[in-house]
Amino acid sequence: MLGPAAALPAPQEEAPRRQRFFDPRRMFSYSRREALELRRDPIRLTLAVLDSVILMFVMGYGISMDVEDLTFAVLDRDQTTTSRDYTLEHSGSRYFIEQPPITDYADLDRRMRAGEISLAIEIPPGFARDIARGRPVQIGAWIDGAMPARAETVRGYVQGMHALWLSGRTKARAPVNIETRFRYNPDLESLVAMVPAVIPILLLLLPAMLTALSVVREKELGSIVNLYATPTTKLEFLLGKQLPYVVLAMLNFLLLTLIAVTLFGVPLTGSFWTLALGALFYCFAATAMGLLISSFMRSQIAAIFGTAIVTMMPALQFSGLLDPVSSLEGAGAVVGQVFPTTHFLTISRGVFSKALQFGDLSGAFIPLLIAVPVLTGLCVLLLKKQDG
Amino acid sequence: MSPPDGPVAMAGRDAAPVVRLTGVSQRYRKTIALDAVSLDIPSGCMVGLIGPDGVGKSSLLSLVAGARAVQAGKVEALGGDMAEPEHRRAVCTRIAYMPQGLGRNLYATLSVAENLHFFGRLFGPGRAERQRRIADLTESTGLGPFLDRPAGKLSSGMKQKLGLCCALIHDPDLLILDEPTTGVDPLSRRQFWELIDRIRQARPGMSVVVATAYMDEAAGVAIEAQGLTMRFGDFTAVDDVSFRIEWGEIFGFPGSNVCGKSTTMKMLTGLLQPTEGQAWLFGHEVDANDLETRRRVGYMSQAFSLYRELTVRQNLELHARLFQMPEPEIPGRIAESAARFGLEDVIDTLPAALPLGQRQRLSLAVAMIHQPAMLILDEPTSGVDPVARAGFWRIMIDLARHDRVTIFISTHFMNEAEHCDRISLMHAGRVLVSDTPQALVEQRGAASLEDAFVG
Repeated sequence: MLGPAAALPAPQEEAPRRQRFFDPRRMFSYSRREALELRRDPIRLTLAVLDSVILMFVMGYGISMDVEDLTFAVLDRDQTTTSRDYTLEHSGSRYFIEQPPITDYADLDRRMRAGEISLAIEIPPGFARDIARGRPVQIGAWIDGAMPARAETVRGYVQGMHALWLSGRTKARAPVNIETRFRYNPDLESLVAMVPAVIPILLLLLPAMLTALSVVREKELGSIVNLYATPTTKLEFLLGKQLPYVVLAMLNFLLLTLIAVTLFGVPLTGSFWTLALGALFYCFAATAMGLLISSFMRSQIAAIFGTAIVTMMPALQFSGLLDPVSSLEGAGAVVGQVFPTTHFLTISRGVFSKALQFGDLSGAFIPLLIAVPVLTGLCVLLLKKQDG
Repeated sequence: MSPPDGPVAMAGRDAAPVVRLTGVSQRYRKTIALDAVSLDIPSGCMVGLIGPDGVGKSSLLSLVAGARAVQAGKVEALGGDMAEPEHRRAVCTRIAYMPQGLGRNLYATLSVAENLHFFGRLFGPGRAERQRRIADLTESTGLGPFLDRPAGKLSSGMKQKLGLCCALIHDPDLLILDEPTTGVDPLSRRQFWELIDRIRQARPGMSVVVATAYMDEAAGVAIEAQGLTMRFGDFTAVDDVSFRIEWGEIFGFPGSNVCGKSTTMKMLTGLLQPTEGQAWLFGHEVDANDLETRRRVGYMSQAFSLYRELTVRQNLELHARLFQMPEPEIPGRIAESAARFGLEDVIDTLPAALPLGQRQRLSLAVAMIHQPAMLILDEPTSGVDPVARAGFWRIMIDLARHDRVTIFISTHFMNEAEHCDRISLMHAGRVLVSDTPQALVEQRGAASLEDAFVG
C-alpha cells in the first residue's frame, strides 16, 4: 500500500476552467500529430500515392467498353453475289473477324457453345432473288447472349451494318437519312471516357481507407484514450484527423490529373480550377466517409475491407460510372443521387471532356457541399467520447 | 519512497474525498469487473489499489478518469458526477490519466518532444508556458537528453517517464496511474516512485491514485527452497536443503568447491530437476518451461557462457533476443549496459581478447540484459584478480541496493561472504547454518568469517 506522506491539504477548489466547444489549437494538435505519423510511415505514404497511380493504369486500360474483333461466321444458304456482298459488309468492318462458314445448325450450335464465334448470320435460300423482286426477306442473326451488355453492343453493330448495307443499295430511294455524330469523344474511345471517371473512384477509395485506418489504429493501439481523457472534443478530433488526409488526397488528385493529361493523353478541355474545387469538396466528403466507417470498425483489417465495400459498391454501381444515374430505379437511384461520387463524376467528365466551366457545373457542387457537413455531423453523433 | 510501505486507510483526514464511488458496478458481456463497489479516496494523498490482474482495478480507474462510461452506480471525482458530460468537460483538465500498458497512449513514431507538445496543446497552456513545463518535466525525469528520440525507441523505464510527463503537462489535481511500473526494471521503478514523491512535494494538493499488480513489491520472499535433494545414483549431492531469500537481499553460499552449491543453484534455475523437494521463485514453483519466471531471473555460471565468435555487442544482442526483448529497445538497452558495466571501450571486441575481469563484467551484463529482478551467480569471481573482484562487488551491491535486485551468489572466497546480507554454509550437500555474516562470527567467537568457518 502506498503510505500517505505528511499531512497534505486538499486540492484547491478552483473555478472550473472554461472549456470551449471548439478549439482550433486542439484540432491542429491532432492534425500535426497525424501528419508527423504519416510522414514517418513511408510504407503507408508510398502506398497511398503509388496505389492510386497503379490502379489508374489498371482501371484506365482494364475497363474497356470497346467491343472489337468479334468473331462471326455465316451460314450462307443462298451462295450468290448478293449474299456474299452482304457478308463482306461485315468482314470488312474493323469490329468483325470472319471465321470459316457454318455448314449447318449443328455446326452453328457447337461453335457458338465453344465460344469460337459470338455472332452467326444466316442468309436464307433465294435471298438475292427475293431482294431483286422486292419481296420481304428475313436474315437470321444469332448472338451469344451470355454477356448481355456485349450482346446488346453486337446487336447494335449488326443493325447498323444492315442499315448501311441497305442504304448502299437503295441510296437513291431513301428520302431521309440519320447521320450520327458522337460529340466530346468522337471516336468513342474507352480511355478518354474512363480516365475522368477513374479519378473520382480513386479519390474515394484510398482517402476513405486511410482516414478510417487512422482512427481504427488508435482504437487498436489504445491511444484513443487521449480522446476520452483530454478536453479534445469529438469535432476537433475528427477534423484534426481528417485534414492531413484531405491534403494527401489533393496531392493525389494533382498527380492523377497530371498523369491523365500527359501519359494517357486525355485532354483537359474545361476549367482546371473548377475541377480542383470540386476535388477539394469531394476529398472532404471521401475522408468523412472513412471517418464514418471507422465508427463501426474495431480492427484495421475490418476497416480496410469495410471501407472498400462500402465505398466501392455504390461508386461502381450507382454513381453513373457505367450506366447513367437517370437509368437507375428504386433504392439504387436514391443512392446514386446522394452519393458524392455521382456529382464529382459529373464535374470530372464535364471538365475533362465537355469543356465545361464552373457556371455549367454549379448544380453538381451543391450536393457535394451538403454531403460534407452531413457526413461530418453523422461522425460526431456516432463517435464515442468514452469507452464502453 | 517505495510505494508499498503504509496502510491503505487514511484515518483522521477531514478533507472531502477527491473520489467517491457509490455502488459502482461494471460488466463486460458476462464478466463482472466491478460489483457494487463503494469507496472514498481522500484528497491530497497517494492511495494504492493493489491486486493481481483482472480484479477490476483498471475499470475502476478508467471510470474515475472519465474515460469509460459509468454503467451502474455513481462515480464522483473532484466534486461532481462523472456521468455528467458537463462535469467531465469541466474537470478533465484537472485530471491526468496514465492508462495501463506501458506507453499505450503515446505515439511511437513521434519523438519525446513531439509527444509532449501534442499533449500540451490539447490542454491549452500557451506556447511559452508549454515549453517551460516541458523543460521542467524532462529535466527532472532525466529525459532531457532524449528529446528527439522516437517514443517507440525508448527503454521501458524511459517510456514510463515520458508517459508520466505527458500526464503531468497540465498540472493536474488528480493523478491516476494504472500499473505504471509493470514491465519496468527495478531501477526505473524506484526512480519512478522517487519522481512521484518529488512531484507531490512540489504540488502538495495533488491526489494520486495508483494501481499495481506488484504484490511482491510489497515485500516478500524472492526464493524459497524446501527440502531440496539431489541424488546422482548413490551419491547425494544435495541433501534436504531449505532456505528463504528475501526480496532485494544478497544471499551468499561460501564454501569449498564440492559441497553441492552449484547443484543447488541449478535446481533453483530449473536446469536440474530435484530428486526431492520443491523450490519457488517469486511465489511460482520453479519450472524449467515457465518463461515468465525465467525472464525475471539472470543466471551466470562459473564457465561464463559467452560466445567466443561474437563480439561483446553481439553477445549482448543475442541474449536480449533470447529473452525476447522488443527489438527497438535493444540498442538503447545495450548502450545502458555497456556504460554501467564499463564495456563501452571494448564493445566491438571478441571476448577472448578481454582480460578476465572484463570478461566477468561482460558475463554479468549478459545475465542482466533483460533486467531480471533476481540474479543467480555461481562462482562469478573465480580466477579473477582481487582488484577486479572488488569492482565486481561494487556493481553487485549497487544492483541490490539501488535496483532492488535479489542476488544469490556462491563463492569460495570467504572474505567475499562479508558483502552478503546473509550466508548459508554448506558442507557435503547439507546446509550447516544460515545467518548474517556478523552473527556467525559472534556465535563462533571468532575474529573473522574465515576463522569462524574453519573453526
